[in-house]
Amino acid sequence: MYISELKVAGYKNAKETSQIKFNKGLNVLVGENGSGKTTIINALRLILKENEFSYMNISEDDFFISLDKQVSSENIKIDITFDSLTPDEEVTFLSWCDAEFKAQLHLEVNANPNRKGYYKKEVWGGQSKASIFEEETFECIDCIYFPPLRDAEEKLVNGKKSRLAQLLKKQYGDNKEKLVDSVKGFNDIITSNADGNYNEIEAAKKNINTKLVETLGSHLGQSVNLQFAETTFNKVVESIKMVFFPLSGETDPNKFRDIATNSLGYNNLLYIATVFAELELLKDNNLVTVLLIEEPEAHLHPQLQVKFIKYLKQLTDMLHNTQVVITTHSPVLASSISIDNLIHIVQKDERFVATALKDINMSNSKGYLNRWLDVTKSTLLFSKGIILVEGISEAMLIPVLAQITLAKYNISVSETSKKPLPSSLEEAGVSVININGINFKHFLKLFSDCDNSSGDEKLPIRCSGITDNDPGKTEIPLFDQDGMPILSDDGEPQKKFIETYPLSSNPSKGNNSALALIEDVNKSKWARLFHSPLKTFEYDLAMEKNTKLMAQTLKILWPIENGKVSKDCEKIIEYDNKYVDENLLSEDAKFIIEHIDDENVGKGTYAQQFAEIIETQINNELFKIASDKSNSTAILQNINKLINVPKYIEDAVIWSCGGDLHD
Amino acid sequence: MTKEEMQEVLSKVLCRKDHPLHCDSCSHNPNKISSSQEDRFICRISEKTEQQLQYIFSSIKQNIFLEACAGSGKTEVVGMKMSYEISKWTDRNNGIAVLTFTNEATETIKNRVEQFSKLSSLHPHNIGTLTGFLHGFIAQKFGYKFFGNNGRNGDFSYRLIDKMMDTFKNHWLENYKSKIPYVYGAGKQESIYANQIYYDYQKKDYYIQFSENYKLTITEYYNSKNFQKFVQDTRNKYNNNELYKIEYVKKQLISDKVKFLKDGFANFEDMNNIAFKALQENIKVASIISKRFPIIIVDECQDLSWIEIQILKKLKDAGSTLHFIGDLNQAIYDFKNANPTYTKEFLSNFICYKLTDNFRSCQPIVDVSNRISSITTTIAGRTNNKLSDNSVCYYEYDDLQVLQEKYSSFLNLFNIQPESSSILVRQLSLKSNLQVRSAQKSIHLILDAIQLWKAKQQSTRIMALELAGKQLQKWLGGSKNKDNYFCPIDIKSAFRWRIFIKDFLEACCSNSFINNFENKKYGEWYKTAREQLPSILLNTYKSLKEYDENPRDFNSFPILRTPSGTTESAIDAISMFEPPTSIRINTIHSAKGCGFESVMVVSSKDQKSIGGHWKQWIEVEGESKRIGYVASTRAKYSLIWAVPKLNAKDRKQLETYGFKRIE
Repeated sequence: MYISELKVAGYKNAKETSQIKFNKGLNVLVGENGSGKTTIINALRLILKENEFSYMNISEDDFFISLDKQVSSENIKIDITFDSLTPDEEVTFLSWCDAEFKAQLHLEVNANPNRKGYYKKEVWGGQSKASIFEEETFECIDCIYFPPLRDAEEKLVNGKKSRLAQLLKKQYGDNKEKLVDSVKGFNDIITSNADGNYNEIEAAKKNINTKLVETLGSHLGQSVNLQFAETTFNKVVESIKMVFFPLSGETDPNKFRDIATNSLGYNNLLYIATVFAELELLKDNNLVTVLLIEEPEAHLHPQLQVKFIKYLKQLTDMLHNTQVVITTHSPVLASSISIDNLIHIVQKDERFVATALKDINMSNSKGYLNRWLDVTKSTLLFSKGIILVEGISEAMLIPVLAQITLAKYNISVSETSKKPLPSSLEEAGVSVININGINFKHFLKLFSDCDNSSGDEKLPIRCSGITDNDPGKTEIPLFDQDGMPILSDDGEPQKKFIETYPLSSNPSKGNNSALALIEDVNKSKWARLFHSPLKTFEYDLAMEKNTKLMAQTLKILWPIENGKVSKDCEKIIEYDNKYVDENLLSEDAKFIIEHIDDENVGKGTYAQQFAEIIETQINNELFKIASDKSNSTAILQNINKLINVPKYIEDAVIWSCGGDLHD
Repeated sequence: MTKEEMQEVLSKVLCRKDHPLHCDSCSHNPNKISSSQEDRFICRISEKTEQQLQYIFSSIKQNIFLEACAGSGKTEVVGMKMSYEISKWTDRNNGIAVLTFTNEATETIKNRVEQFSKLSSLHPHNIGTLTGFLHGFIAQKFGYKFFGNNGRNGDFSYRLIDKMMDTFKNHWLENYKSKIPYVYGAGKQESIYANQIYYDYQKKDYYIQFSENYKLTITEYYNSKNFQKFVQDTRNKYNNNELYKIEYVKKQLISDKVKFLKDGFANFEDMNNIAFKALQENIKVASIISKRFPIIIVDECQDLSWIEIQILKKLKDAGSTLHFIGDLNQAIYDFKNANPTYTKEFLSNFICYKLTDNFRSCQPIVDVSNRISSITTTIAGRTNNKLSDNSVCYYEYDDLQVLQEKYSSFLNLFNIQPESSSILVRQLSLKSNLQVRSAQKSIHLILDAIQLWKAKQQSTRIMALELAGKQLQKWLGGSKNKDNYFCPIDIKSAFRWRIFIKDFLEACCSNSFINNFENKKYGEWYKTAREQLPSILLNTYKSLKEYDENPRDFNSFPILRTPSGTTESAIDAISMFEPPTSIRINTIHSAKGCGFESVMVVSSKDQKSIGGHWKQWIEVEGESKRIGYVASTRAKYSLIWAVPKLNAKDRKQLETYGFKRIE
């Protein structure tokens, strides 16, 4: 059996009932900070009584409190359902079963503590409170929790918190006597000093006792004995510590060194090895086991993260009664596991929303995503909003253009009741993700119904796609020197195809297959797909009368100073964006585009240089905004003079940041 | 096995005896199960009779009826049987269920098992009440699926509602008031509520419970003279012969019942029906419960009702083994449909074991009890006859109120402690006739409270707090119920409220006017009280004020009136209510399973109520005889029947049974 569902209300950051469905086996919770991943882990720990008698008791902070501290929840409710019980489990968990023979466990805590500040927990099973509930059944579930690794050394040296002690305790199970007996035996040898090998200890003890009698007299005096620390099993195990040698295969105990002298990175490795060893013991455990692991990536280098997650996957595939729930912020972890294991968590309207990626209908895109959701692209799982772009130019320039767009937007809404947006994409938690092409359909299925897929489950975060119009090439007939059409062998007039450079007064129909998605995508709640109205990103940017700045950039990058290209650039710069005839503008735009694509420049280099230039200038302007923002309109006009952001880019930015589009 | 062999096995298992000596002589074994009696330790195993041991060693794979006569030590035997079985038990997910009829019996058996088996947790076994088991494991757990409970906040429990619940305090019951009235005379009508209705699977009809002792099936009620007259009158009035046809009446009452169940309410009979239906509708329910509890031991099986037997039969059919323990001669639960004839029939193919040694009563009491109940089995009275021919007596009474005194002096004469004796009555009404004056009925609340407070006994002080609380709440806005000494709704701390009552009573006691009832009439005291109490109240209220949500100044002080009809009577100084030497008065039903050194069974004056009169105990076959049997077999050394004045013939009849007359 496995936990198929968790419901949480009134707990931590979940005010309203929040629900998450789990897979059998491995579950990887992904999502931005504060989305509720830890709330889920802690809710599971609480209801499964992991660490019942230590710090995991309910405190005031566990109850939901709104950000303004005005509203707090009156009770905590945590409910879990276990699915797929075997016939034996149906009997074992009978008192937790509902009428469908799924096991249900419920925890309720009222926000009014008793006089001593203790919160009363009510735990019940099945579907009705009045049915019999057997506490003992908890013994049939093992819940193991691995906190985020903050300090590997602390976990490896001896002591109560030592993971090593946990491992040893598990390893020993019920056969503790032998270890205890041998430590005790050694202790007895020391204290009795029968063989006379420990005369010094004996002498010290005698001395102390003599002094005691001398100072206190035999009447009041006490006696002391000297022994070897404590000999209970827990104490013995907790006093065992790890030492290391920097090469494998060393057996001489004298060569091992103290952990404190090891590097942090290697200590993390030792820690993970200890954890693996502990997990290895699960293989002999036939109990229902729930493993909760928070942020295993902390301090682990990427290869080790991958190894770790693959190990867990293998473990859960092998042990049918083991379910693992991991939280992570690591795109490395998220990208090295099948998307079927990923559950996306996001905070919405004072509750968390969990979306299992396997429940999203991705039809034929699933294979593609599984293969291509790499480290960079899986960033989308950790973002508040997403902008999908075709290539490197957009990926570099859009964050800069977004700054302008957002500044403009915020001034326009300042007089209205609309909420202003953050001033940059980073601040908004929006990631720009380069999908290297026009395969939008695969990604957009995560957010919307499109490309013949439909379903209720979507990732509830805003996603914009930016694509090019890419008009088809223009056909022109070929003429000979006499102006006569050239005919081919079969007598048809010969033609050639040339790049189209459409004008806004005469746009061309796009030839980009992604454009077909727009209608469906734009009906969705979360996704919008925007396209350049004319041709491509760079061309459309130029056509917004940004040729001056673009030519300046080109001039800087062009290897031959004072050559023809430089001269042409200068001409465009002199023109100062004051075009009356759109044909002229298009000519200049074409010139710039063609030279960006030239092997002397290249899109990436150009975009980087261009971004640098405008960013510097924008920052100079933004820097001048007075603290009361009285001059902001004027400054914005300055920025607008600097560069005009095409409307489709503006829309994409505003949508991804959660703003309202005008239409 | 011989008796010795059985004892040997038992002491090896239960006392972990590790030497060949007989268990009686293993005094040094620290695990020995023994009880101290008159300064010597009795080995609990070696005192067992062969019959008792045979049952302990009986098979748990066969259905067994252990016919245990009164005083046969069956609780001890069940406890030891259970301990023996669970000591050998290895399964962790299934166990033995021991079901009793009262919480006391559950506790007794639990104690025995804990003593014998020395286990701290009895899981996976279950010792509890039959009701708790049937409701908790079956009806509450699975019922909602078969009766469509709508549930409250995810909880699909049924709330148990008494059939005779007072609608006055439970206005919500109005939602379940039937359109069909209860007509009980010309123009005499009351409402019928859904909680009064239940289905009887045996009769295959619905019953309506009209009062504690009066119920009719719907058909019987429909055809009753009173209801028929109502039907005719209504039809004549509206000139419509279609009105109130039986189908309509049935449909109405049943639909009220269905609504009641859907809203999650059920009476006791409903709960059993729900359990029965759940087992009937879903074979898996029965099969899993019988896997969870492969052995079910029912104590006091003579008290099983028809439907309870049907439910247990379902579990038996699904694979559970049943052990029924009890004495059909002690079946006195006719009113809940427990019929020994039916039980006997059900038990006909069970293997029968017998316990025929009565360890409670001396032979004369055993003999007389057998004779009155026409029991032919030879039962040995294994207790010494201490009173020789005074063991069985009868006493003729005129005045019920002097009975206690008479009985006291009888006990005194034979040196029997009143604390270990009891007066038994059939009906509660008779019990209150015997009691001189009851505090619960006090009309002079404050006056009685002050007197009781002064007595400084723990019990009288509790009563004083209750009486004073009852009066004081009237002055402070009223309380919801009698919880926490009538703590008013407005008072936030029940703890403070109690201190307030205490302060008030202390103040009254130290007030020389109030605390003076010598040679006074009630009228006089109340006059003084009206003058004195306001200032006492105001003073003591000061410390309560901050806990009062509705602080008050007592400007218009409520008048404390002299209860009507008492103004001119002299104040009746309270002789301590139930003085410490008083003899307990129990109903025969509540004394089931108990034993007393001496018992006085009080016959009612007439034969109006069933089983209350001595003649019925002797002459009327069925439950009346069994009531007489249960009552008489409670006695160890001395049994007295207190009967109303007899004529010579009756006297002779009693004496031929073996009763000796006392004055």
